[in-house]
Parts: sequence; structure tokens; C-alpha cells
Amino acid sequence: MNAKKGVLKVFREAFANPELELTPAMVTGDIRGWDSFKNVEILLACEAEFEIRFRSKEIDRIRSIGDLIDICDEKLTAKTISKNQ
Amino acid sequence: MALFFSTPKADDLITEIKNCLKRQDTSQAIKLLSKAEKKNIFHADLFLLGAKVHGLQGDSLNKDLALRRFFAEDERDVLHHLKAVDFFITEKDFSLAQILLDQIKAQFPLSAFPHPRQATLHCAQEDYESASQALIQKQQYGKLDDRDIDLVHQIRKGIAGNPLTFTKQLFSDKQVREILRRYCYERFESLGFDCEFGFIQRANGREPLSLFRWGAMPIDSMIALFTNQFAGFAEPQSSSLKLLLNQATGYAEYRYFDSQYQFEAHTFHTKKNIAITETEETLLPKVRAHFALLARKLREDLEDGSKVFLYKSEKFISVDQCKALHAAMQTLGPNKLLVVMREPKNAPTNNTPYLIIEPSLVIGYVDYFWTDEDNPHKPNISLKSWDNLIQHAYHHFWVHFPELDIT
Repeated sequence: MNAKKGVLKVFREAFANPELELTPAMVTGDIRGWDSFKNVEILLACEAEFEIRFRSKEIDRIRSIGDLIDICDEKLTAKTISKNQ
Repeated sequence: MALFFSTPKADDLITEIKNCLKRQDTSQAIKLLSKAEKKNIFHADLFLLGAKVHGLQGDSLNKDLALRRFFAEDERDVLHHLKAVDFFITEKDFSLAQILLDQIKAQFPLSAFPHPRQATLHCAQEDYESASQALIQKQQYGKLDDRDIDLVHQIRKGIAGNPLTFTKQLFSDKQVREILRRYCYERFESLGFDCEFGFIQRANGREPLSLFRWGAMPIDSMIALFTNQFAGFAEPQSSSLKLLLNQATGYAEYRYFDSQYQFEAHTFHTKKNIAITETEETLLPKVRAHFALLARKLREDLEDGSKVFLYKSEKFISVDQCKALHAAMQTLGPNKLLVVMREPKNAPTNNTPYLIIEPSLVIGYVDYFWTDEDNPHKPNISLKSWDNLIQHAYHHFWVHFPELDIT
């Protein structure tokens, strides 16, 4: 599972826009309707998409799309490693 | 710039090579890199991993070749080049990171981006004076931004109260002082009673994501919620939506209610902004999941104990009630609580804005709440008074609980 692709899928579904493009530097407010409420929806959708669970400290670290992708990526790598052990 | 998508094959190989490196199995990593070459799978991260693996094997020729191939992937993008620096800082290969950084600075002399990386590299080597100098250099090319916050805090922590020339210069800067103020506000988490403190945090650069940002519950219910370890909160049997008039927007809004803990919260969903296929029945599970995630987050924060919780009360609450809330929080973790009430009338001026009940429990006072009839700043918040309290309280908690100072 690719974190970048998954996050893009989540955003396209959340904003009902199949053409939506993302950049790592984008932050809350950069897309119409993207507010702190939407952020919870996005986090829940990422948890479902990647079958992961965010910790509170990880959520607090997310300031941009790039941060969200990095955290999803870290969690996916950790999941793969634990599966392989 | 759109996101760069690698092929699934490249992703799998990258993950496998990373796993090999974690196991220190460089020969298997080399085999995987060769496999990528043979299958014509090219990806910038594979070149960086190749440089790392060849470096570990002492093969400097192939290491340099891998780096050259990495840079050739996007020769004109300074951020692409800096990825290599980030990679080798993470790998603690500081000398190679510095060599690459010097090359990048020479290649992109007008770019501000290499300077924060230089500061990161100095911080990694605990040279905070040089890190401060690097951030000051960045300011000559452009402003410091959110990405520099952690660096400022690493430096502040690293110097441990003994600033030298460049560190003093950095910390006397207005922009840096704003960053430090934001950091202070990030250490607090609201427990309600309303969203006034959330707006104060927003005004100081922090947009909180918390259960009580847009929600409230009576203090006795909150004590029960913590004592019960959140049992039964946001469960289907206790959850409901009610359509109520939002005074601020003039629209009827679906409010979320949890009957077990008398929790009420905004959802900002109105009949006008929900999809036409959406009904109360389809909306409720989504809203419930929303508050369940926020409750889970709050519980983790309470178990962790690394934030200062702030409970604002418009009504006077006794010291015993404050102690009861504090005790309930302690059942989950080593928590710090600041209860905020309105300053008693005729209070002497210039008094300390708080009362220490015990090191981890403080009652603080502000001159006006935003909804007070006599608030002269209406409809605005009495920011100066709040800030005075928050700065004092932060100092108090930081002195007693230095572990709060985590970046």
C-alpha cells in the first residue's frame, strides 16, 4: 500500500473531487471546506484505508499533507516489519 | 507540483531494503538493488538507499555513483537535493550530510532552503550556536515558518538557558518570540466549558483538534467520564442528533448529544450543507465516529500526562470541585490542570493571576470572559488578560514539571 496514493484517494473522496491534486506543503484551509472538522474525517478515512490507528502525538505532529503522508508511511512500514517478523 | 507516485514494485523494494538495513543485512540489500536495476525499476529513494548500502560496505565508488544518479533525477530542484541531506542526517552520517549541503549551497546560492537543513545538521551535532546562526541566515532570504518551529525549540532546549551571541540574536527576534508563544499555547488542551480558549489558541497559531474544542459537558459528568475511563462514551445507545438553531450562523444545525455524560457538541452539519442523500440516520454513525476518535485522543493525552489541561468555568466552582476534577484526571495519568474563572470583583490590581492548590493544580483568573455582559472588549476576547495567565501558568508548570518541555 502506497501512503501517497492512499492519502490522495482519501482526499479525493472527502472533498468529492476526483481531479483533486495535492502537494506536500498544503495545510488546512488550502482546499475549500477543509477545516478542523474535515481533518477528523480525513484521519478516520486514513485509518480505514491503511488499517492503522493514529496515536494522539502523531495527530499533533501533522501540520501539512507531507506530515500526514510521512506518518502513514512510517506506520505502514512498521506494520510490514511486524508482519514479517 | 503534484505528488510523485512511485510504482508499487519500487515501493515494495524500498520497504524491503529498509527492512534489510534495519537487520544490518547489507548483502541482501545489494541483491535487492541489483534486482531493481535488472528490472529497470528506477526511483530516487532507491538511489539514496543504494548510496547508504554501498557506504556501509565501504564501496565509495558505487556510493558516489548512486548519489550522482539521485541528484540527476531532479537536478534543478533544491528540495530534491536536500532530501539527500535529510537522509544522511537521519542515518547520522553527519560528515557526508555536511559535504552534500556545502555542494547544494554552492549550486543554489540564492535559496533559503539549505539554511534550516544546516541548522538541523548542527542541532543533530548539538552545536546550537551554529544552528542559531544558520536560522539567522535563513531570515536574510525569507521568513522563518512553521517548519522551523521544532528547530527553534531544539535550540532553546539545547542551550539550557545559556545563550551565546547568535542564540541571543535569534531569540530577540519578534518572529521567534511568536513561535515560542505558539509553542506555549500548544502545551495546553481545553476541557471546555466553551470554545473561548480554542479561539485564543487559534489567535496564537494553534488550531486544536480536541473533544472539547466545540463541545461541553457539566463538570460532574466530566469527573464521571474520567473516573469511568471513558466507558460508554459515544456509544450508539447514548448518541443522538438534534436539529437546533445555531445563533451565530442563523441556520438549524445538527448538534451531537451523548446522554450518558450530558455531552453536547457542534457538528456544523446543517440541512443546507449535508448531501441530499444524507439523513439523520446516516449522519449519526459518522458524527459518532468523529467524537469517538476525539475521545480516544483525549484519553491518550490524559494517560500520557504531557499536556496542561485547561477547564474554564463561567460559574464559580469551589476548590473541592477543582480537586475532584483533578483527582479524576489523575486516575488516568499524571495530569496538570489549570481551572480558569473570572477574577473576583474588587480584586487588588497587579496581583498574581493564579492560586496554586498543589503543583499540578492551579486556579487562574482572567478579567473578563468573552460572553460577560460587562466585557469591554465584546464581542472580542480579553486576550491580554488570558495571555498574562497562560504565560504565568506555563512558567509555573514548566518549573515543576520540566518533562512538559517536549518538542
